[in-house]
Amino acid sequence: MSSVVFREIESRGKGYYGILAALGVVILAGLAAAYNMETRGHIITGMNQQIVWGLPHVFAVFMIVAASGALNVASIGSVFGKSMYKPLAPLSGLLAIALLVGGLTVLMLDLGRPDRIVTVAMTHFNFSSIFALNVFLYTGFMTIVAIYLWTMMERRMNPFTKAAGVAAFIWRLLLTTGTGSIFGFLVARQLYDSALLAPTFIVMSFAYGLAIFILVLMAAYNWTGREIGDVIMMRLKKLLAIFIAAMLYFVAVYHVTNIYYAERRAVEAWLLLHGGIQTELFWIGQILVGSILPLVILFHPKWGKSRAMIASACGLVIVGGLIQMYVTIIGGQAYPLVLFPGMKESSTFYDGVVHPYYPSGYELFLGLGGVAIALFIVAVGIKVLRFLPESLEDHVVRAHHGEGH
Amino acid sequence: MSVLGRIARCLRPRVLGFVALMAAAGVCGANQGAVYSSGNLGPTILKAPGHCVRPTEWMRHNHMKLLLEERTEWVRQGIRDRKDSLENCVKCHAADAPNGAVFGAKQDFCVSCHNYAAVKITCFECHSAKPKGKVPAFHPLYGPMGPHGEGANAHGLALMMRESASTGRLGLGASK
Amino acid sequence: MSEVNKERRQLLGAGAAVASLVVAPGVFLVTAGKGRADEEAGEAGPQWGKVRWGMLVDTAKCSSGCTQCVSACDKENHLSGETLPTSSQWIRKMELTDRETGKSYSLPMMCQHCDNAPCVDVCPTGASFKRWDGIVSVDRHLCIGCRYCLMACPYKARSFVHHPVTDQNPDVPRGQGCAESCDFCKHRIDEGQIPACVEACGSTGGGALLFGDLNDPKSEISQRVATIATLQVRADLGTEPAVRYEGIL
Repeated sequence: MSSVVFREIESRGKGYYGILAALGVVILAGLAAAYNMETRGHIITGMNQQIVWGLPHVFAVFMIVAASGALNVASIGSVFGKSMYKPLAPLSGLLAIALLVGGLTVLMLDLGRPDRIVTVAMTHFNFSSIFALNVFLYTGFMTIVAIYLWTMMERRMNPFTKAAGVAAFIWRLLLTTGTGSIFGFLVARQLYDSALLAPTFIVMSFAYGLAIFILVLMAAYNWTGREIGDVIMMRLKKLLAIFIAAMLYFVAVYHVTNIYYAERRAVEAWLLLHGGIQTELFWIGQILVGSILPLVILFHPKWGKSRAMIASACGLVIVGGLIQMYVTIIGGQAYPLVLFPGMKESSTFYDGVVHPYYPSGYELFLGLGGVAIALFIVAVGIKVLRFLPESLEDHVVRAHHGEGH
Repeated sequence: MSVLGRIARCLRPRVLGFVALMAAAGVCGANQGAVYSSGNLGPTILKAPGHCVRPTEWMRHNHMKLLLEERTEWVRQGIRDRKDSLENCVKCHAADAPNGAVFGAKQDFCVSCHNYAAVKITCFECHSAKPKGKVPAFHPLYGPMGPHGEGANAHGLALMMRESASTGRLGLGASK
Repeated sequence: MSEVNKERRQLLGAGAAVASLVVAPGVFLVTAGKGRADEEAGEAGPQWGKVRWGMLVDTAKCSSGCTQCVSACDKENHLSGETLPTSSQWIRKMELTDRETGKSYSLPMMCQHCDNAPCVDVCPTGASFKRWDGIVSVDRHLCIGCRYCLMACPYKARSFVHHPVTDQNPDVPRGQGCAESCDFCKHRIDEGQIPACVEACGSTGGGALLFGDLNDPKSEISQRVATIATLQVRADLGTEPAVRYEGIL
């Protein structure tokens, strides 16, 4: 194991503390937003009786999905024996925990009664609710990944890394299934009621998680003057491209299936053709920016080799992913429920009309606060513990790769 | 260890002060019924007409358990004839209060003790702090007919809701 | 305890008398109080499934301009009566037009008090629950305000309280940050009365609402739903609502 040396990052630079301070400010803004929402009520947000889950859920679900995806790099190393990825495994685990904590914080602070998280939410469970099961899936995930990290970072625990890695991999599949099922189990809403949402969320998690992982990895190495070689970069890039393509496939199957059901043609026509902002977000945001452009960049003979372009592709996947969540969560609610098929409906409660949604600054800052919490945890983590290999230059990776065979 | 020791030393006078306060509360408890104030130390407890469903001393320690048990029967089973319901508590204890409520002003029955003990009350975020059918005639929303009379004014209620939405939820700074 | 029960029975007996007094034209509610009184006389405490409160809406008698049920609900439960996108609406009047034939209908839509209620299934804490007599409501003490029930309800019956609430009806606690919906005025039912909307529809509305015990074969509502064609909204979802509509098949 002499080939890979893990080190804390050095703390000399003012830049590091500048980043921590900036993140701290965003976190405080998020907490202030949450405090306002709790004391004054959700009336100050853009959410209402029609759009009941808004921007905070877009951020929260995105981060929770990305959290399980961020663990993939570690899983590929320990579960599937690709030893080249093993040096990246600790960071992968840290990122997974950080993203989950960030996402869950947003989710909990958006509750109508966040004061009851401990007194009620953690003590009263209705196990027919996927939400209640998720409480255990999320806490279990953090515990298992923490143990997994321990087996990787404590030499005496190394023999158990594979077992912990397998457990974490199975658990993350369950977790994302649970997250996708939050929507998949909503039988009454035409854009949700689908078993396909669970595997779609898993593939989405692969793509988002890896994109975030690559960006954090590049940032951490660039800012601390360490090297990442081409071998590992090209591998990660190809993997990301495969995940994006798989995501496109699942999205296509989902919509084609819906279109085939006559009952759902109206809602599909709305989303894909004349849904205004939702249609634009779907085609331009989710499909073009989030999938097609990154694929073009990653497969392009010249751009695909440029670090800056690879980083841009990752950024596009993240932006596209947030938009995909927006279309999934907001779009799914914006289309009215059908109570009487075949009838034109209207009422004072906005039956039969598409519901607009104008998110407020409070929701935006709560969501960004969650992102900042995740990044803060990563920034502190890599400074105080040895998450990052000292070098990922080609000779280090190759030597390690060879050793694994 | 030395740090802990220093903290402990700092705390000691405060702990003694707290014990003294608790003792004062005990004295206050012995004087059940009458409007009582022990200077700056104890809470002011408004006297309620009639007899309580349990001895005062018992209620002082256990009213929350009683309400917890009662609320479950009330909400989940619809058993509404318990004498020890929150609705009945409010009926008695708001009877002689200047504002006709158990919560809302500093001297109100629930508030005085809870402020003193620094325990937040969340009951009245949902529950009415006033007894049923006893709305003061000068109430801004309802005329002298009460909430079911001709004076019911949805517009006024809406205005007040919007106002309270911008000023924060009903409550007292001290109990937050 | 037995004394309490005796007291309760007396109270319910009185309630039953009240119920039969307030029977409105076209609304036969003898069973409303009676079913409960029988239940109480036989058993100590609530018995699961003995009673199942239900409602039958005759859309032929429901006219499109009439909102008596909505006003009565707002008044009874101290709702603002506003119709902003953030306002709670426990009952609403829906106007329907058949896309092909142009035939229009008007009807009230509220919590359908499903036997298999999606809101009960998805609630993480068990705050959303079905009572022994079939009434679905929110135990606000356990509600954390996650709004999953609003997402899950096929009837858009749930509302979320977006702002602080003051001056509640002492019988109907409700407050910020919790989900809420029609509970068939369970505070009135427990005292032997009928829901406020049914009462209002019978006295000043079209008399379109019939309320009663679906589990009592002798009740008016049971006999009616056994003999005429009625519709459960989105019956395909298998939620088995306790509210049925006639004249809209």
